[in-house]
This record gives sequence, C-alpha cells and structure tokens, in this order.
Amino acid sequence: MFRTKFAVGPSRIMGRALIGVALALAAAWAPVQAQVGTVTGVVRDAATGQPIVGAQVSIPALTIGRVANNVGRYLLPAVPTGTHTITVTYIGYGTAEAEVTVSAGGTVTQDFDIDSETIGLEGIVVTGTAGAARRREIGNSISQINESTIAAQPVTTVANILQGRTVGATVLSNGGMIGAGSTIKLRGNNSISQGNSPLIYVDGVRMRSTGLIHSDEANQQTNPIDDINPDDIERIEVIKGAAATTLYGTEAAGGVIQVFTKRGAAGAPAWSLSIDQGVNSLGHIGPSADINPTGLGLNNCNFTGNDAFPGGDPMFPADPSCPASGSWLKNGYMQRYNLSVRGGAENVNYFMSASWGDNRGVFDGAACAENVEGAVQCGADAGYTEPDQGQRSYSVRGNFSFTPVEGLDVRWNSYYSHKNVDWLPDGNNAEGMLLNIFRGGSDYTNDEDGKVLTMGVQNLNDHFVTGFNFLYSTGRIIHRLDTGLDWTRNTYYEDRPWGYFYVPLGNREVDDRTTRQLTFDYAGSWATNFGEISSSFSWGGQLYDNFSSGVNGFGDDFAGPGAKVLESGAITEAFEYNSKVTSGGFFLQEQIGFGDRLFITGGVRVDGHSAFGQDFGLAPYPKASLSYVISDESFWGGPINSLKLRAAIGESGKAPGLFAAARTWESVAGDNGQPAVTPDNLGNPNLGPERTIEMEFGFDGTALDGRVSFEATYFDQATRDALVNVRQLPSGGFVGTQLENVGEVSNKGFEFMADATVIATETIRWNLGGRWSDIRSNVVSLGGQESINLGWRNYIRVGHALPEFCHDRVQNPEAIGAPEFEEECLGPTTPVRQLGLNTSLTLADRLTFDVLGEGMYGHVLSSGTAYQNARRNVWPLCRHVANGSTPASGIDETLSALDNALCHRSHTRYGMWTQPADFFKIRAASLSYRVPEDILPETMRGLTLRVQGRNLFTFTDYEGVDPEAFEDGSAEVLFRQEYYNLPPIRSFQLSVKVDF
Amino acid sequence: MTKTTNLRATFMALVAAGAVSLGACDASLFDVKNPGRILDDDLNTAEGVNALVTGMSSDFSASYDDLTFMVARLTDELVGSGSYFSTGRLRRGLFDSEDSDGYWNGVQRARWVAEGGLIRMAAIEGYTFENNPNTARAYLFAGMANRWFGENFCEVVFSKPYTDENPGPAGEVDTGAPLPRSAAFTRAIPALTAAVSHGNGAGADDIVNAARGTLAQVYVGLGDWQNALNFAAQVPTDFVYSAEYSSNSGREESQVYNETHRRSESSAIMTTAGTVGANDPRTPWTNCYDPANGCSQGIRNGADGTTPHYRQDKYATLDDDIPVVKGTEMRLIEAEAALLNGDLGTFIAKINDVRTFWELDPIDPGAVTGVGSLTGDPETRSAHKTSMNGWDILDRERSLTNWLEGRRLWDLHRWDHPYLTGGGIIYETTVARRASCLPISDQECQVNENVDSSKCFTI
Repeated sequence: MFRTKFAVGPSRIMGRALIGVALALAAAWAPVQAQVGTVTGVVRDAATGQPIVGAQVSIPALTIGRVANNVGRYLLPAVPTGTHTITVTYIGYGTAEAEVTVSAGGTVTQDFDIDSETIGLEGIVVTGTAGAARRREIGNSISQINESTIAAQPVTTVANILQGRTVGATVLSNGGMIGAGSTIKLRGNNSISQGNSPLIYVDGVRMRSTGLIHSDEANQQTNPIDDINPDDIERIEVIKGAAATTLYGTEAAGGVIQVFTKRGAAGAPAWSLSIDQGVNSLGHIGPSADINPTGLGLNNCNFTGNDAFPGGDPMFPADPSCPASGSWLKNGYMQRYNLSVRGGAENVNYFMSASWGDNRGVFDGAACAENVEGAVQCGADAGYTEPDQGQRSYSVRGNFSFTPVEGLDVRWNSYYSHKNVDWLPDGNNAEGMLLNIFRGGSDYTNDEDGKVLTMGVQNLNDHFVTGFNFLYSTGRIIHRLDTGLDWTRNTYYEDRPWGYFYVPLGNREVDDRTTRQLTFDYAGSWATNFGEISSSFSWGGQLYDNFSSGVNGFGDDFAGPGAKVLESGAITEAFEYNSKVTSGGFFLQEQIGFGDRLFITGGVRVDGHSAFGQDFGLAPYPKASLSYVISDESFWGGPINSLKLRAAIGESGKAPGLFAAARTWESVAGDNGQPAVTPDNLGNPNLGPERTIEMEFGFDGTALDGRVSFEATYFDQATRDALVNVRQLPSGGFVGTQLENVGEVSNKGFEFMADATVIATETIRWNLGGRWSDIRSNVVSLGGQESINLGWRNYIRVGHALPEFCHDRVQNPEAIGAPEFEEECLGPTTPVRQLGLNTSLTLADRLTFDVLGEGMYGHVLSSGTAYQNARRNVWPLCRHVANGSTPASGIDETLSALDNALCHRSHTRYGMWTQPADFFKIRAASLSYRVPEDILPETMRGLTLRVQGRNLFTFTDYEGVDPEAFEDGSAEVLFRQEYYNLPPIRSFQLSVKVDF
Repeated sequence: MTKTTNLRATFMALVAAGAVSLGACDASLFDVKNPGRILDDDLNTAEGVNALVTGMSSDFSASYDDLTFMVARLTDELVGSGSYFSTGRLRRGLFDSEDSDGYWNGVQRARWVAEGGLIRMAAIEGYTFENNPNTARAYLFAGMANRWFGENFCEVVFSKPYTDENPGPAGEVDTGAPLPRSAAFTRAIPALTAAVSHGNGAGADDIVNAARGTLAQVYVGLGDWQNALNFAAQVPTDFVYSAEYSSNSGREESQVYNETHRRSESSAIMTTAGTVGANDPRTPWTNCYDPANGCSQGIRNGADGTTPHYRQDKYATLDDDIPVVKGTEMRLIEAEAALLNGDLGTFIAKINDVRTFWELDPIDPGAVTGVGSLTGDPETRSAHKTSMNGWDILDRERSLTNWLEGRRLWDLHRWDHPYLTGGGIIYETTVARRASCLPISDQECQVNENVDSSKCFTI
C-alpha cells in the first residue's frame, strides 16, 4: 500500500483530467503487446477507507489509463514489462504516484490510499468554462467539500455539510424546527435590496436557491438546497466573490454553489445501504435554571416548586394543558434509510438511489385537557392531533452516463424528492406556541397553551431536477452542453378548525406554487501549446428561463366542525402569482500559461435580462486574474513545498425585481368588491443590474512535506450602481419606493484556512483543520438617503455595517431613578468573524473520531423574547424589579436607571435587550468504526458503524434564548431578530452503512 | 463508423444551434410581459374611469382606518393594550417624523390619486367630465383627503399634481414647500365646491351632502364659523357618508375590527367610552375578560398580557364602514358655534338633537352650569366624566359621537385640551406635552429638497 499525502512536489504530468481520460481510453483499445502484464488494485480514501469510484489510474508515459470501477478497483491490462510510474487522480483529491515493476504475464497489485485535498495545487475544479481546470491555473479561491468529508459528518441537509467547513460561508441554523431552512451567505452581504443568497447549480442545472413559501404562522420556510439527498453528493464546490463568478454573470454576485452528484462506474452492481436512527432534543431554555427553573415554561410546564421557588414560579404557573410528561419538550425520533447502487459497463454506467426518512421534532404536541366528565385526557384523546412537528421525506435519483462515441460523454441525471413538513405555530405570532408558553400567564391563551395545538400548518414540497450533460472532446477542443429543468412545487396548508380558540369559526389557507427553471448552458474551449507557452481560449453562452406560478386561497368562517376545503368558508378569497424572468448572455475568456507556472486570464461576459429597463441594454462584466506557482521556480526550497500566488479582479451582478422598471398600477378592489386601481410602481426605464467588482489576492500551498496545506485570501468588493429602494416624494403621490442604481456597498474580508496532518503512521492518523474569516460589509452610499429602516430597528445606514442595529440605550446607568435614553448603533446583525475548527483521529485505519466546532463573532442580536417578556414582568432576569401592578405606577425611584431601562415595563427598550451574540458551538462529533472486511460475510464488501451528534454544546454570553435563532427562518431578508422561535436543536444518531 | 459520424454531426448541429440562439440575444429575447399589473398609459380610457374613481375610494379607505386606529391609541379613545412597537410610543404621547411616515404616505396618496385622477379624467377622450357622478365623487375625495390632511398634520406639503400647465381648480400650483395646515383646508374648498356642483348636475345627493358636510368641517378648521354653520345646516341629522370597508378582500377589511376583534391590541377599559359611554349606543363595547360574554378565548386580555380586553363593537364586522361626514357631527358643529357665542340654549338644543337621534335621554338644560372651560378628567385628563359646564359637555359628546372616527386628535389640538399635558390612562406619559398633530414625515424630509431637515425630528 502506498500513501501519497507526503509525496514531494506537484505532478506536472497530469493534464486536464477529462482529456486524460479520453486519451487513456483510446490507449486501452490499442492492440495488446506480446510482452505484457497486468496491474490492478483498489483506490481508497485515506481517511475513511472507503473506495473511490471513478478515480483515474494511468501510466502517463505509456498513455495507458482506466477508471476505477464501482467498488474502487482498477485494472490496467496489457502493460509492457518493466518499471512504470502509476498516477492516480480524482477531483478533490491529491495526486498519488507509485512505481510498479511488471513482468511478462504477471499481475501486480498496487493499492492506493489517496488524501482529500481541498487546497492543493493539483486538484481539479469546475469554473464555468467547458472543461475542468487545475487549481494551479486559477487566480481565485475555490472551496471544495468531498464525498469523504460528507460521509464523515452527521448531516441531514446540504446546509449541514457547508456549516463550519467552508471558509467565507456563513450558514446560520435559524431555528429548531425540523425542515426549517438555514440562511446561507458567501462572503457576507454585498447587496442592499436584491438578496445575498448564492446561486445553486446541481450537475450543471441552475436550481431555485431561495424558499418558495414563507409560513406566516411557523415563521420559517424550507430551503430548496436541502431537498438534495446528502448521500447522493460526490462533491460541492463553493465559488465566492464576484471575481470568481464573472462567467456566471448577472445574479451571481452572491457567489455560486455547485453540487455534483455521484456517477456510476463499470462493474457489477455495487449496493450501499445506510440506516440512521437517532433522537433530536433540546436542553434548558433561557436564563440559567437557578433563576429560571421552568426554562421559560417550556422545559417544565407543570412546575410545582423547589427550595428556591416554593409553590412554583409565579412567572410561569403550571399549565393545565401541559403534556403528561410535564414538559413541552420530548426526544424526537429520527430514522432515515438510504439505498444506492452503482455499476455498468465500459461505455454505459449508472448510479441510482432511493431514500426515505422520518425526522420528528422536539416539541411534544400531546397536550392535555379535561373532558366533560372532568377527566384529564391527553394527545389525540383530548383532540390535540396537531402538530407533531417534523418532516417525512423520500427521494429517488437516477444518474446515467453513456459514451456513445469516442470523445463524447453523455450524462443524464434525474432527481425527485418529496417532503412533508408539519410546522409548529412559532415566532412573532399571537398564536405562536413559544410566544404563549414563554409569556407565562401574560399571553393570548390565558395560559392554556395547548389550545394552539389544534391548528395545523403544513408544507408539501416536490422537487424534480433533470438534466443532460454533453461533453465532447476532440483532444484540444472541448465542448460542453448542460441543459436541464429544475421544477418545484410547494403547497402550504394552514388550518384553524371550527371552534379554534383564537378564530372561533375557523379558517383555512392553501398556497400552491410552482416554479420551472430551464437551463441551457454551452461552453467550449480550445487548448494549444507554443513551446513553454500554453493557451486556453474559452467561449460560451447561457440562457435561463424562470417561470413561477401559483394560487393562494383563503376560506374563512366555517359552518361547523370537520375537515375542510377552502369553499367550506363563508368568505373566500384567492390570489394568483404568475411571472416569468428570462436571462442569459455569452462570454469569452483567454488564459495564457508560461512554463506551467504562470497563468494570466482575461475574459468578459455580456448579459441581458428581462428585468432590465427598456433603455438599459446589455450588461458587460469583465474579469482578469493571475496565478503564479512560485514554488516551481528553480530557486525555491525550504519547508514550503508548493506555493501559488494569485490575484484576480472581476465583476458580476444582481438583477432588479420583476416589475421595477415599468410604471404600473395595481388592480385592487374598493367599494365592497368593485374593480379599482392604486399606484404601484413609479418605473425606471434605465434600470440595470447592480455590479459588484471584486479584487482578490491570496496564496495557497503546502508545507512540511505536504503535512500542512494552507490558503489565505484578502478580498475587497465594491457594489456600485447598487439597487436601492429609493423613497419617492410622498407629496408627489407615489408614496412607495422605486429601485434605482444609486447605492454603493463596500465588502472587505480576509479568509484563512489550514489543514495539517499531525500524525500519520500505519496505526494512527490525526488531522487538524482550521478556518478563520473576518468579513465586513459597509454601506457607502444610498444615493442621497441616509438611512433605510428594515424593521425591528435594523437599519441600512450610510457609514454603518450592512445592516446594523440602532436603538435606545440608557445613558445614565449608574443613576437612581429615571433612565435617559439615546439611540446608539450597536453593531452588525450578520456575524463578522467566523472560526471553524475540526479534528479527526483515526486508529488502525478503522476507528475514527471526528469533531467540528464553529464560532461566530462580532455581531449583535436583538432578543424580542427578553424585551417583550420584560414588558410583561415575566423575564427571569428581571425578578428583582417589582413593578407588576396595572396600571404601572411610574418610575421606580429605588432602582438604578439601568434596572429601570432593562426591566421596567414602561421604560424598557429593544436596544436594552440587544446584545453581542458571539457564540461557539460544537457542531458535530462522530465516532465511526469500519469493521474488518475479513470477518464480514462474503457478500458484504464493507460495514461501517457510527455514533454521531450535532449541535452538542453552545458557549455564549448572550442572554436571550439562542444567539443563532432568527424568527423569520431562511427568508431572504437582511434583518435578524430572535422573537419567540424554537432555537436550534441538538441531535444524536446511530448509523450503519453496509456495502454489498 | 457511419453511426459515429452521425452522432458527431448531431452534436455539432446542437452546438451550432445553441450558438445561433445566443447570437440572437437581442432585446426581444428578454422582452417579457408579465401579467398582474396595469401600465400607466392603459388607464387613459373612458371605460377605465370607474376603476380609477373606485381606486380613489379604495385608497382613501385603506389609509383612513390606519389613521383611525392610530388616533384611537394616541388619544386614549382606546387604551393601547397591545404589543406593537408603535403602541408603546402612542400611549406615552410620543410621535416623531419616522412614526409619521405611513400616515403621511396614506393621506398623500389619497389626495394625489384624486387630484391627479381629475386631471387625467379631464383629458380622456370620450369621457363626459361635466356633471358626471364620477367627476363629483373624485372632487369629493380630493376635498375629504385635504380635510383629513389639515386636521391631523402640523404642516402640509404639496408637490404634485398641480403645475402651471395643469393648475388646480382654484389655480393652485404646487411648490413642494411646507405650508401651514390651513393650506389643506383652503385647498379642499374649491374641490368640494366642484363636488357640489357636479353632484347636483348628476343628481348625486349623497355626494352633495357629503361635500357640504366636509365644507363645514374645513371651515371649522379655518375658524370660519359662519360658513361652517351655512354648510352644516344643509346636512340632515341622519346623513352619513363613510369610508367603505368589506370582507371582500384583505385590503378592504376594517383594520379597527381586525385589531380589536381578531386581536386585542387596544381596549376600551377606563376610557371615556369605557366608563361614561357604557350602554351608550354610540360607543358599544364588550368586556371580553368575562368569559360569559362569548368573545374569542384568545382576546380575554390585551396583547400586553395584563389589560382586560374591552372590545370595541362599533365596528363589529370586517364590513363596517367608518363615518367621515355625518349629520350628527353637523349638529355638534352648530352646538359649538353656539357655545362660542355664549348661547347655551341653542347649544344644549343641538346637543340634545344628537342624543335624541341616538335615543338617549336629553340633557336637562337646567343642569348645565354655564359655558365654562375644558377641565379634563381629574385622573386621566381625558374628557371629564361628570362636569356639566358647556365645554366639558361638548368635549364628552363629541368624543362619544365621533368615537373611533379619526377625529379626536383634531379636537384635542384645536381646543388645546388638558389631556395634552400629562394625560394618559394605562401607561404614564413621559413627555411634558403629548403629540397633538403629526409632523412632516421623515421620508418627505429626506426626499423633498424644499423641506428643511429641521422640520423633521426624532424622539
């Protein structure tokens, strides 16, 4: 067995991978020589021991090559006798080499354990051009997460995969409801009005990147990226910043996430079955248990007292509807099953998978109530059938590859997923479960919070992605054509039954929306060499067509009990959504290489977009980059084995909203249902995209014989012509806002990541990794405006962070009596600094312990929960302030101004409950064991057992409910506030993976 | 081999087709027409005038209930017992330019769609402008919006639609500069006069009565009691013209109903209506804290969790309209004019006209202790609950008759009511003097170069 992690120096032999494959396949068809032997073996991931399907194994000197089959096994037949160097390459892994000596008619076995290498220079990434590119040629930072990393983590969503592993990516969990989407941002915020979510591509097909329906009751929404089955993913590439995303054009300024799913490989069907069983749970909620014994009434809803609180806690009296367990929380059971198979012949192969999961949340909906005889019944017996918060989902995938003719690679990837999410009414919502629980007796339910649980809130999501990838290589020229469909249907149901406590006659809402996004993406490249000078010319064009439609219906006031449809309501109302956006463009790019160490790239993309104003025209986005592998110079030496210096500058954009360019009126009703019009949009025929120009400098390399790999990047983005919702002249009649290209945003940052192999012996392998970023977004100009209020005192203000929280803070905290307030800007509401730490320890190649921690710092979060509870005298940190009488008697002259400002019901302010939200969380920990193959039955190729946990510990000084909580879920908004929403939960999982 | 060649040819043809498609990326490729909006020019048809004028009504109503709900909390017509951020400020009497944004936008839109719509209507080919009920109604909305503007805002600003080319009915040209609130009253007069004229021509009596009633209101605003009395006298006591609300669509729903029946954001407890207004048909409310009264269980207390919810029932459904002009108010205008003249006999007769209309016992003229002055309730400084001097009676009767109609702030301001200095029911006031009018909005200050930033403030 040959370990390659510490092989010195980069390989210069490896060409573009896919060209290599084509050449190798061609060579394989050559006539068999007389004096030949065979080389065979298995290619495995060095860290996990899992076989690597599709690894390219070749003897470059002989132009012989094959691809490892569906169990990682390769076979090089007809190898001439003698000593040869075998090279193994695979996207996302370092290059491995080994020398073998082949004898006539003999078979040499040479296994490879190759290391995942997301930083090194020889890795291959996809950049938007026709073929894959070597990292050494690229002037930008591109992050990559490989299958081995994904397999080692306790993940249930794609967002889980990105969290803490990707420098420059901010992934906030938002809430603890199963199915709630995360907020994902790459390199912070650079857009004021057009969202900061990255574009998502799956196998070359652009998919919807933001949620479709935001539940007003659950105050959460699903994120379509989480529809992808994590077990199907081969790797994820994260392209950050405008300089790297220029070729993706308008809409790419927030970065691009490319997901590549697994492919088949030659061989008999190789099956994998994974079974995950686990529980979700939530610990103590709110201030510490000594002053908050009930956990704001959530942990204990039937508290009868202890030494400190004899007779119970008057803030959170026992709730007669409390479940029989005495708590609103339970351990939610999760189960997930995934079956996949891959195989095929030389020219046709497949990967297919199916998964099914049922993931239950932590909220116990089995509330209790007295029946007419006075007996206490709970759960369904008491009529509480909703909600059992959680998600049931299934998915199927079929990926097929064909090589119909030499040089032409055709792939057809199709995926369908279905998800059924039952929500809990939550967040800023009078019928929110936590709002009513956390407010004790000062709530809407008169402290019988179970009343809420007859309401049902549900999402049914269907997602279908299908696409063809054509790759045609004629040696120096490569054509790539990706075309596909991303189709989503989300149906949302909200049911208040007849007799519901808050709406006695009940009501129902159905919101049914469909999106259809078509991708047509062609790119070509032509590579030539002139001695030491290489040239790669690329061209291409894309066309995207995005159609959305939907109907939203309401039925109010039912005549009696029973299941309902919309027309059961005495009053019905309906709305229709219907829109189409077309965008596209073309690009040209030239890359010149000198001595395979210095690469200069220049290019331009030109885009059109249906949302541009009619007088705007097309939008050009230029780019240029430089990459210099200085370690290839003859003078280089020392402990740093390889070092690439890089610099890039480029632009990309964000398109304006659908109707922003035209002057329009909206159809409404007046005079009891008569047709009417009202001013809608002022219109701006010159409206164009906002442009983000980015300069990026950095270096990547390896040191200490490859034991350490590192990457550092500084970037400076300026979003000019930023689209700002400019407030119009109210006295001129159009009182709304109009998008105008008048703003400017500055977004600068520093990213550093390093991975190190501390110990690597035959029996122990210890890896350490770290990621650190510091990203600061600031508003430079709002086109004459000084401030835009996003709500909840989150502001976009010139000279301040994007966005920043500004509100009243007490100015005389030490004084006794009345507080004096003044507005202060307290800090950004998006994390500024991020730390990711991971370590894995593998013993005897079989037992692996893996831990991932993540910290976010430099931001503030407003606790609406603390503020609103303080106003109601039910915030445990304010027990010492006795002002519970109604009406309030005025300032408590015995208290400090600080105490009055924090806890006096008439004087407390949001600003007083807005605090630094720094935190560090143990995101994931796992212990896995790969059972020795020799004790397994013959039919079984592998067996891996794993115990794992997620979100295990949180370290924070934040005094609200959770520093990561956000009441509006993954809604595409800039502001953040915690407001009575279920905080992120922890989970424990036992997994078994069988390969057969 | 032939098969291979064909495949290659097919693939290359696909590539070529793609390239040609992209080459055709001219403007037409991205010229997408989406449904759901009406382009501005498409409104210039005679057939579209009905929708345009109904839109004026819709825009008036959509913002007038916002104003009504806000004024109720700011003046303690209803106690702010909810959890809205604004409620916390309103009950302390705080109101700054940022608070003003939505209300300023609402009245400006209502005014502009009417005034600008009239200019558009006059230019539409095929539309008969003169003596058309739509023309009369549009003028009425222009006048009522300006009355609303003048009564509630400390200063007013007009930037559009009147220009040299398209001046207003009295030759007005908008400059965008701040003007005293009386300018809105003055601006309303020619519009309302035109409403009367076109309404008479069209035989639209309700529009004529509403315009005359609004003229009475604006002349009160200008202190011209003679003209106020002249127009008030032409409006029958039982006449009511309302901003319309409906359960037909969310935009048409009554916000006051939503905030008090579907939610519990304000309560009549301890207010004038909640005390002396008990069992008064002008101020119906229900004590929802008492489960026997059959309210929704979710609104037993206010959203603040502690204040018992006394639910207003004046607007008991989503469809209940808010009176904007009514004959009973005309009688109270006549009563006030009499009081100003020291004519207690006429004063009490007019007061009793209103009470009789509502089937309430008349006030015994002998119990009236004189003209007097506003004294305010000893505890809350709202309308005095028992005083029998003329001004306290008028205060009480106007607050009950016009309850939850968005008029109380104007009365408090023009009377310099004792409530403005230290008044408050549930929560204490933290300013020396409560806001009695709404300032120019922050948005107007930021965008309008003719408005000095000193006109706007934050507290």
